[in-house]
Amino acid sequence: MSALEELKKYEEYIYRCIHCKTCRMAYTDDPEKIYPENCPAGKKFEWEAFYNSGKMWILKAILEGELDWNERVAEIFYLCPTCGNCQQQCENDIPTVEIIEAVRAVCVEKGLGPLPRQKMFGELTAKYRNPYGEPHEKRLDWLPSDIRNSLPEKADVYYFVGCTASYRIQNVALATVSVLRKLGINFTISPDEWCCNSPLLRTGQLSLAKEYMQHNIDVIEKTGASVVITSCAGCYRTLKVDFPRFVGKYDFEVKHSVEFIYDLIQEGKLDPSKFKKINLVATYHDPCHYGRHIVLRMEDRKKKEEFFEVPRKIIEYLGIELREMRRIKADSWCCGAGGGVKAGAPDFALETAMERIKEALETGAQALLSACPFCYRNLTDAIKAMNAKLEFYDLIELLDKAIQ
Amino acid sequence: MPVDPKIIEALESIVGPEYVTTDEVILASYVSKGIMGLEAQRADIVVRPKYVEEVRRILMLANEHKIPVTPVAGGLSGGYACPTVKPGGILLDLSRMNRILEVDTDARYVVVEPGVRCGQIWRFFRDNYPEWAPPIPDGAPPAATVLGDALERGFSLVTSKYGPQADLVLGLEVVLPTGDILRTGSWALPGAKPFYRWGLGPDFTGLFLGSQGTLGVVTKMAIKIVPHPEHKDIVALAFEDPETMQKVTLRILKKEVGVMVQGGNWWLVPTRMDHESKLPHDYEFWKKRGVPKYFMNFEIWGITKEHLELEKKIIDEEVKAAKSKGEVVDYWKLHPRQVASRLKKPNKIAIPYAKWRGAFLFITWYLPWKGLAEFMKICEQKMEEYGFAPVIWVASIEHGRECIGMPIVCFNNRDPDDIQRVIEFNRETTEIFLDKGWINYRPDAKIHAPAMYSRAQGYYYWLKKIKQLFDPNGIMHPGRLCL
Repeated sequence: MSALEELKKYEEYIYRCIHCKTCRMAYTDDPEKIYPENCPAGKKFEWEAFYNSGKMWILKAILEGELDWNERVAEIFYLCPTCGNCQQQCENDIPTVEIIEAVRAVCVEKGLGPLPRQKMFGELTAKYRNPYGEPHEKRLDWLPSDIRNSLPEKADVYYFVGCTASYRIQNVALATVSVLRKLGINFTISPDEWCCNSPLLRTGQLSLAKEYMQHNIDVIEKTGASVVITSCAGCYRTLKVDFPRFVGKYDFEVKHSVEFIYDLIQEGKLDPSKFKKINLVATYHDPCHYGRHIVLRMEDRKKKEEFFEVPRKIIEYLGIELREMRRIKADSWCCGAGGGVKAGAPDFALETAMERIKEALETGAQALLSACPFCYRNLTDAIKAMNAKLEFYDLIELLDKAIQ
Repeated sequence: MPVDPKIIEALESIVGPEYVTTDEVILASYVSKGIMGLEAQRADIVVRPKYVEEVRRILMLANEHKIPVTPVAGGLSGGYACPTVKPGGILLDLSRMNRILEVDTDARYVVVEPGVRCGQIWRFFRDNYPEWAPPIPDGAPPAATVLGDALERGFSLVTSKYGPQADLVLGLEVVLPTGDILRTGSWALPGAKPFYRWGLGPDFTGLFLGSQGTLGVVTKMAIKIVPHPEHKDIVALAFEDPETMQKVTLRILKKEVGVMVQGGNWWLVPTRMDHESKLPHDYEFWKKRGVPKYFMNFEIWGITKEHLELEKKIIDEEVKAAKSKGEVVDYWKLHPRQVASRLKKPNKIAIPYAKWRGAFLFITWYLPWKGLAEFMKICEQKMEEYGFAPVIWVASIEHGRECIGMPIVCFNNRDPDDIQRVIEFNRETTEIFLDKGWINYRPDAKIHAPAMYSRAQGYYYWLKKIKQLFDPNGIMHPGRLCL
């Protein structure tokens, strides 16, 4: 099926847009918490075309032959972090993220996309198995050699490290391994893990998807693991949502590292009262890929609420005083890095993150917490750019400090 | 239609090049058909002013060169938020004019620019004036604008008590196509505050309310705010037929109970839930789930708990009296979550009707309350005849002095036959309702306005005269009024 045919599968939903523009406000269930701005692209570029409602009407014009596919259409659809906040707000259930990704695939097919820097990481991934262009054989260099050499071939749990934690935010990977070892988890990591393909899927570059996903499934299944842990929200979303979409079912359960620890506590296998308390006043940023992108696929309201409570419960167990920002949980303001924006339009990504840092500072918190190395990168870039007095920690780093 | 480069340059010099575009992709993004109308054209150029002086200079330029201008605030009024005639001309996107300029809690008003959205003002009032409610529309999405809704004489969250949103307006600032700036009400006196609607003589404000930007561009509005008490509840009544709903509700409304009293038939429930193919269409299914055939929600506010209880008691007494007369009325026991969702403001209740068949049209009529049952019956019959789910919403205005009735026509906007059926349904019911002396609110330029004005030619003659006076070159878009 061509990308255009794939996009046409969404025609019914595209036509559902009544142009009510609710998609631009952070507002889930509770108007008392309403926040008039939720769309990073709309806020940055202001024109109607950059909001989801405008995008849907551009697509209608294309579908009705009133507008041609062109580079400007592609540019507008690429300048979006695909955070899904518009989808979250839409009362007519328009799957905006899927539609935008389908449009990007059409743009790639027509030679109109992706943006130049995004194209580069497509090429790097094909060559090096990661979008950073780092040597594949150095994927596990972050791991102390004694641990690396003792990784078993078979294990109960597989830690899917992901490219960002393997090559850039290695402290997250190290903390995850440290926590797993302290807890005595029988886990393994493979040096033959490839990029999960998230950056490529988000930018419409689908040519590697099936091969890479199947490769990773084979690698994981070879270990016999029944649980796969990710410390990266992007990998988590891709393994959980996109792998089944592209290559069908697999025989393991995918959990975020925070979720994994939480479940151990719930199962009575880990006693949080023994955690070393962390003396910190902090706020928490919900990553889009370990948050909205997952609950959007849940039907049960209670399950959605519970999902967002998991990191907050962990924060509570750590003894941290949590001061919430205004846009949280399903309404969370995106860090700005997703959807290929960090690579394709770094200034836009940084501005979006700076808005989040401002919101975090308003809470009076001394630290911003999250659970994604990609959010980590962009938000810490913003902290540096603003010279803000705000610490940043991934939750797994704090768990590593707390678990004795 | 290509815009003269000199005009583009002139517009850029007024607002800055970053706020002017002829980009065809952006122009396409502004188009909108549905909710209120099916007619829309793409503008030739979009301009986004920030200040009144910019608006003035744009209008003077357009007037000099006879370029059509369509002002848009939130842009939510379906097709009618776009130019409706060719050439599309200038789409004046006022969304950057989004300041809340003044709040006076003694004279009890707020002054807003056109781009102030309901979500924005609600956030502002919750943060700064939690004891006051801003006049946001009830049912309109949070991205709707306060000014746009009031200018359209729309619904506020307290319309059942205070009347249409337009009744809350105290004064306007209007930029006319000639470049003159007109202030209405007490605002017309230099230095005066906008505390008094009726101002310095015959009222100009009313001329612009309902004018849909056909006479000039409204750049400021002073509008009343109302107390926002802590104690709120919903009392929902269930009926077997619209006649009883009409009678019992009116008796309660005459006691002046409720800030928002609205309801309709059971079809309001399934049509906002999912696609028509996925849900049962027979009432028995919904009856088993507790949905009444007809229902009326009374949103009541109390300054104290006792006040709230008193309002409930008044309703209860009328319910008991009706029952004693043998009228079939009962309480609809709502789940706390249903109560909470009805009390939420701004809410999203009017949005999800696109789920049923892909799109929907609100066709709204004003009529005396005593016409409610007949209105509902005609709509139900005709909607079924034309193959639409007979979804009818009704609400009280100013304690039932009048009623707003609205068939919600859920249709497939990808099916030309379905669109044609919408047009035919609208045309036939328009003739029926006009015969009965009922008035279309937000008339359709192709159907309602011609039918209405052909019956009220004298009024239309004077409207045209006024239009010529304010807009001698006829640059302001004709709107739904065909002016």
